[in-house]
Amino acid sequence: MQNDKNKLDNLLQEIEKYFDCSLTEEEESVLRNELINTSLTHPAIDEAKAIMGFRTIKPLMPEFKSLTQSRLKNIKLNLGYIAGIAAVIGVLIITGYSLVNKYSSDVDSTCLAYINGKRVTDEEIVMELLAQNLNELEKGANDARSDLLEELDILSPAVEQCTAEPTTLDIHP
Amino acid sequence: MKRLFMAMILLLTVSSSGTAQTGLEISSIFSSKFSADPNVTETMISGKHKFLTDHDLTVLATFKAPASIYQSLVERLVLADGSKSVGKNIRYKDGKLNFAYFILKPIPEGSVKINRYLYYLNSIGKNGANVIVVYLEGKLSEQKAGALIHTLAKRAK
Repeated sequence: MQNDKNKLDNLLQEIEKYFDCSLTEEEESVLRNELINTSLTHPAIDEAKAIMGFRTIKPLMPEFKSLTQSRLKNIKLNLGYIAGIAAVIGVLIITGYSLVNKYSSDVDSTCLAYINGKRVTDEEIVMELLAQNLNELEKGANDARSDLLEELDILSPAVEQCTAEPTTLDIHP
Repeated sequence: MKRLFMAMILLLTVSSSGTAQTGLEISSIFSSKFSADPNVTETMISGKHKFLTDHDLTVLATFKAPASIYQSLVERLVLADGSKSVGKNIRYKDGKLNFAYFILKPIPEGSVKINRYLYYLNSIGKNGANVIVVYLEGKLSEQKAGALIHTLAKRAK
């Protein structure tokens, strides 16, 4: 009981010095800790706590900010991992599809035609249409060849004349 | 993590390019793009079809369409592919490409070379002028390709 009274007196003296601005920074820090931890009650203590409490409150925003940043960082990391995994899966799917497609095209065969806007898979019809197209192509190629031969025939006498042996009349003395 | 992501993107690009066709301009006319047009006729034989394997072929395709509609497009595509050919025989008539035969650059497939031959004709037939494109791909030689066309052409009824 006597001890508590002494403590209270000491504390009130320190508070008075605080309000007189006669405390050093270290002493002020000690007083602050005592006010936080003390179980003693006195109006002067309450007043000091109120004033010092304003000065000792840390801004919540930086904490909140760091917490939000931390969460955002986690989300970004998670998204990065998800994107990486999605890319790997995408590559595997496309590679697998290419291999299957290549394999299936190697194993399977295609024989089809489009006639009058319709798809035809009857092999006989496809081969007949193929033959018709190639027949027309060959005729056209033969016509082109014939034209060329005709032109060469026209050129031929002129070429022969140019390459003929010179006559005695052409020789200058 | 970043490096892994970039590596995956690169692999993705390579994979998707690996699924491309022969890399020829004429691939667009053999992709059934114009097959809905009733005036267009196409044939496509590819893969392990017996007819192809018997003749050392992997692809045999033909395209025929009215010249009035398709001549400028098809001619442009054929000449674009023909510009990279290793051999050619072309003929113009009346200001248009009349006939063209291109020996395209062979594609290496392992230790084997796959030869490619492209024919084009713009001719006037019974039903008006048509453009015809024929494409052959396989191990067969140039002489055999010509002989095969001659043989098949004779089968036409």
